[in-house]
Amino acid sequence: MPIATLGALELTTLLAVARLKDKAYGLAIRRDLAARTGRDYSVGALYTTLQRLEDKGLLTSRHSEPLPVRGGRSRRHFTLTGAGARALREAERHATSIWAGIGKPLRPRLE
Amino acid sequence: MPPLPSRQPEIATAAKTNSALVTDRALLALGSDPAFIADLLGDLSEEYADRATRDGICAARLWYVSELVRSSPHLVWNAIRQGTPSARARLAAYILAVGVSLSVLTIAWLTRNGPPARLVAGAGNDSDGIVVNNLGPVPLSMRVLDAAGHRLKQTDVRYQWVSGVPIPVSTRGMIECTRRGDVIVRGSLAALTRDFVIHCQPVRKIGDAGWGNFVVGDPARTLTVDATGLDGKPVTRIAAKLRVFDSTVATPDASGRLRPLRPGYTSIDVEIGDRVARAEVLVFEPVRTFEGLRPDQRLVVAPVRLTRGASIRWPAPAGVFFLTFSADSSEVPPTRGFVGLGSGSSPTVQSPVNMSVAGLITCTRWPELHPGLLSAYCIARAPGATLILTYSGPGGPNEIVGSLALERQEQH
Repeated sequence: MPIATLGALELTTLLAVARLKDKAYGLAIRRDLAARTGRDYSVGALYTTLQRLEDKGLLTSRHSEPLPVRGGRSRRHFTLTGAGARALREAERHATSIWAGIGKPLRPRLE
Repeated sequence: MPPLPSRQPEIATAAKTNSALVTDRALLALGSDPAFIADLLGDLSEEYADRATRDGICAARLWYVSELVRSSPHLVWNAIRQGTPSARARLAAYILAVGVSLSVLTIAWLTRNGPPARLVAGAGNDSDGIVVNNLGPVPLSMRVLDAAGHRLKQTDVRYQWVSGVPIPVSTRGMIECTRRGDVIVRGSLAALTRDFVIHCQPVRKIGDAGWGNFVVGDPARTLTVDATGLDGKPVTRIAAKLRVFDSTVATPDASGRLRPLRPGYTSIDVEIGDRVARAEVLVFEPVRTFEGLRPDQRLVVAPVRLTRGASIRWPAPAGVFFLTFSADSSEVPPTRGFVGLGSGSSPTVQSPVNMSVAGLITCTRWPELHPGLLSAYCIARAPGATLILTYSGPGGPNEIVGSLALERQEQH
């Protein structure tokens, strides 16, 4: 099965879902992303990404019971699928590969 | 309580629970996926509750609205992707309506009128006043502008005579120039006041506007019209309106001068006050010589430079045409004489410049309009005729400079 290619926001969202485990729902994911990336993604942008990941088969979701704090709406919890886990491993492998040979800390080369 | 395995029942429940919410209904009407809307609004509600406790209601509401606005492109995109064809059509209609409304509001805002700020003279204004050539009563064309220069529809400007020649001026701005002279009229609108100079130059009669000959490429120039005032003297300041019948031949520029555009003929109505005169304008095409003229070159003019004793011989086109020689220099004595009766060349009148013809051509001298102008009406029955222009007369300058114009008539 081919590994899905991931954009930057898709990758960070998948990682947040993997990190949050059974607490991975929209608001929690958004707060996690804000804390780790320093960027305040809009709710619409996040759910568009989550829906795209679900369409790619990398995530699955289920709903909780309606909650008063959400105006009677339910929370939608996301879970990494097997394909999602493979995509993350592939992304990690790819990142490791492209970072290979780069010493730390990075120094500019003197001409 | 464990999460439920399927989302559809909860979506329905959530949608039903929140059916009263205006936001839900508005977003559902857009055609977005109900589950997407429920997730988005649920997160917003949950965080709104947190922020209301932490930052206060006002800050939380502000955040809620800004977050909804930030998410609106994603809602629209979701509606485009997920919506049914009818929902997409509805969305397109919404977007169009919002776009049109915003455009209308923007235009209305930009073109809104402010309070009256200036009184300015309208049509017919000269650099230092308004020229009135009418004999009868005429309304003063004042305009009321706001600070941005927009024209306001104000009818309650009041006018009064201040000084100058005594003529009737009504409070509504009707002025009757019963005599020649300048008048100061004051226009007032609320706190706005301005004095205008009215140059009363009533025109009783317009002389024949006559012909105006132009050449393509020449700068624009004023048509000359003779206007006579009530006192029988020439009117010196004129505010004329031109109506050109064929503006592809010549057209008036912003200052009322006529600019030739292409060879041809047009009539022009010159309206001065209550009077109208008609001028006829011919626009000629400049050529170097009459040799090799095409049949469609009906109006041409060629430069002529003749030293004493010299002559020019050009082929005459077949057909009917007018010929006009005009000298550029006022030092040239009036030309006298045109020759060309029947075939052959036989000058009959001695003059500094003679026009003659040779070949199967008949020409008749046309009445002389101005000194230095020589005109003839010619009929050439076949190609091969020749036009001859000679400068032989004594007493004039050593050289004569002018132009020879050819105006071919329609063949019937």
